[in-house]
Amino acid sequence: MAGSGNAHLRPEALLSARDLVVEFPAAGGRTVHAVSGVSLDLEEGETLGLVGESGCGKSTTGRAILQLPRPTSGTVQLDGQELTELDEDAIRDVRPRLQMIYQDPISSLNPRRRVRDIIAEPLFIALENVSRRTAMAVWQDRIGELLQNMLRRASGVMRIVGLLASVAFVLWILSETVEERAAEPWLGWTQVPAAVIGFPSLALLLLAAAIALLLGLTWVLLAVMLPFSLMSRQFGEVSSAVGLAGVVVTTGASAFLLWRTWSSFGGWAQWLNSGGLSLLTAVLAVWLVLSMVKPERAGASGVATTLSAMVVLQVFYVAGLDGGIKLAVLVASAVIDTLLFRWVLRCYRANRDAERERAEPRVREVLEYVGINPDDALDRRPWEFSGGQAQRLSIARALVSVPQVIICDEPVSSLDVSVQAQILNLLEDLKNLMGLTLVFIAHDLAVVKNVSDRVAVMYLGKLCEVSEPDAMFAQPAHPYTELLLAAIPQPDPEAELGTERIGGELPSPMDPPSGCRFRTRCPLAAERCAAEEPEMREIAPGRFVACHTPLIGEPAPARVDLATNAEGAS
Amino acid sequence: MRKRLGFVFWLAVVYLVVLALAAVFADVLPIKDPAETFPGTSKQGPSLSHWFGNDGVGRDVFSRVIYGAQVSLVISTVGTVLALIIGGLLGMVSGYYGSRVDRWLTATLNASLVIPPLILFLALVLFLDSEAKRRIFILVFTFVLLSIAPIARVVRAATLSWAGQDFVLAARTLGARDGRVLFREILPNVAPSFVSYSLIIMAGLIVVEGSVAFLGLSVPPPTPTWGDMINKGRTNLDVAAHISLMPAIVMFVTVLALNFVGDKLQQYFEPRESVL
Ligand SMILES: Nc1ncnc2c1ncn2[C@@H]1O[C@H](COP(=O)(O)OP(=O)(O)O)[C@@H](O)[C@H]1O
Ligand code: SF4
Ligand SMILES: [Mg+2]
Repeated sequence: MAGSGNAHLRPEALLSARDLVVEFPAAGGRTVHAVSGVSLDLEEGETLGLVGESGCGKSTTGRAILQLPRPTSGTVQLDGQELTELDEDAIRDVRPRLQMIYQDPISSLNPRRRVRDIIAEPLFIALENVSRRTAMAVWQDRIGELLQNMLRRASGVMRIVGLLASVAFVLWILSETVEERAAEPWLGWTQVPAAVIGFPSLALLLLAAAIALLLGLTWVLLAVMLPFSLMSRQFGEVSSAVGLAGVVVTTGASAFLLWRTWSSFGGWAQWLNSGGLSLLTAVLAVWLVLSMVKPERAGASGVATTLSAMVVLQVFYVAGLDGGIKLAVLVASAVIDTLLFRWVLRCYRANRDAERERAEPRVREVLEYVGINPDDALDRRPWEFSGGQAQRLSIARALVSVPQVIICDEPVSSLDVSVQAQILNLLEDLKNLMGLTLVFIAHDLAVVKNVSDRVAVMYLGKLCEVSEPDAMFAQPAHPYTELLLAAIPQPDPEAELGTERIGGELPSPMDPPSGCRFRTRCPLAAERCAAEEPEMREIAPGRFVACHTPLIGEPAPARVDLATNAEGAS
Repeated sequence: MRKRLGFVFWLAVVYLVVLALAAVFADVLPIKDPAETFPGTSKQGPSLSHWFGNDGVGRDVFSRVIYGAQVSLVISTVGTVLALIIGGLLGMVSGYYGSRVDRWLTATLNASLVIPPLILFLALVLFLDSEAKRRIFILVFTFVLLSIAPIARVVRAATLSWAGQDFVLAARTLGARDGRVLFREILPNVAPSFVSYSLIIMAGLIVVEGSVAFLGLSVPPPTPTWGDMINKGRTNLDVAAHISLMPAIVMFVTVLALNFVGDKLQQYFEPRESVL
């Protein structure tokens, strides 16, 4: 069942994964071969069951299709679009179309968030990603690609400058104090390092402030050039106004710093004693970097940062005063700061509430789809729900982003038997209602039988058999499929299916057997199986098997005793 | 079912708030000048006019304890907040990105844990300290350096366990950026562990300041600090124990209150058992 080969793939597939390989590095320089050349495809509206023992790589295959993490090799095409070649930004746009439902419904919902936020999160994320893109598009329209590139490069520069500024700040403190020490004879040698690190670090700081000033001014100019209404539509009125104000403040502050640094060139010690200013430089530099990299986010949080820096400054200032004035200044600045912070907070809340309000109708609609009463659920947190209800929430979240394909990773394995059927029915209904295409992962063949149009059986990172479920159940073609079928608990005591159980342990994926990976446990294993990997081939219409001696098609060979065979193989 | 914080928790909070307010407004409170020596009151025990008694040269111990709180609180708060921001970010980045970033950060942080705090501090003071006024910066700087590693380790461990949860995968499946995943999904879950831990770190810093002062290396006189007061009172321990005892009690109660509040918050924020 080394199931390589793509004989079972179809040309018209909506989702097509070819030769997926996923390897993880393991301790001691070894490699976990979790998935080794799996090919799957799905036609629109189809359900593919993916079955195998736990640990055989089903989840890893599902995640490789989602590109989380990206497969070591292989290709994944969705609607003709090659996902493995997309960069991170492009893949983010595809992701909503390709969703997943998880085995543990509780762990798949953030315990700190309310249902209304969890279910609306896909919308918020899409909004964020789209607004970033439109922001970039606006830049492009207005100023042209040249300027945009320049800005992008500038933000890289700012990152480096920010880093240098903080390093410079630390070095500066060192050199500054070292130099003073150096005046005493016993530390005379330190004059050398003082001279070496002192001047470059000051120069760096000046450079950082200068560049911050330049970029800040550019930003303000550009912002002014853009009609305010256009910006408002993109970023929301409050946040663009606040963002602009924030940038103006920063620019002013860097100008001030530049001036201060320059004019205090003669007396470093004095400058250092008002250490808050140096701290402020670092904070402002960092924030400026942020506002350059994420212009649409330089709103409330930017102002909050600036305010915090201001508070630090105030503390240093207040500490130098005495008596009654100190009290007055303290109270005044406390009141002003509180008001400002509250204002920022209120802007932030207003934005968030507006977002929530816009999302609510959609959230309610989807909750009703999955059979959850929105009025009860919206303000509760995930751990207040039972497993089955939580799984419904998880399904609702996946539906909000209007996916084409949902990968259900053992969605009912952790649920009570009584609830399992409900969730399976729900998935079936939603599938028909919304025209979904599903990958249904399970470790139990019985679970997938009724929901799948096609079943793929997996063993140790490879496919064994791909067939329609009825045919597969009536007459398994692969020895492993037969064992899986025999392992299904029989509700009917009269049934005379095979009594064998799957013997032995799943071999380690770090050291998979040669040839057919199933040969160590296969009752039919022959010498050829150790030497040669079986290819996936069609042995009957619609039945694809990767086995040298399948149970149907060619005449089934005589059973070989496993022990004898092991001797023969070695 | 809300968990309750209990009476003692609120008592501790009120104590801390009152202490902080007293320290901030020490200048304008109707208390004695901490530098003034009251003639003939040397080593005098607690009285109505001098609540905590007087020290060896006759200064008011109560007002000195209040002023001493300024240093203790500033150092421990600023130190903790900075360490929290730096250590928290490092821990989250380390735990979330894993692989090589994690290995380097963990190695560096572990290495920094090996440095004996007192030696580092002595080295920094001897090397950097020229001006007494700047001692407080060096104290804060050292404390931040010392607290980053423990905070980062706690946050990293918490991040690691939360980042493995399926809701993080779900967010990424929806196309969320790393920043959004870190701050919206992981931070709210990790925050309780480091906010409560930070109070314990804060208590630790107050104690460290005390021991440093004992070596005469904290903020130099005339600024009163708790550690320095305890240290100076040592010589009179047999005749006037209150000189050391009063600041020691206040320090003890403060540290206890911080630890208690930290512990309670930790319990309070503990995520509920899953209902499965
Ligand atoms: N991130 C990982 N790092 C290392 N090994 C992994 C990782 N994820 C999965 N594996 C290994 O890959 C194999 C397949 O795992 P998985 O896909 O979860 O199996 P299944 O979902 O079929 O139970 C297992 O042996 C597992 O230990
Ligand atoms: S008969 Fe050989 S090829 Fe077929 S499953 Fe068994 S070991 Fe693999
Ligand atoms: Mg799994």
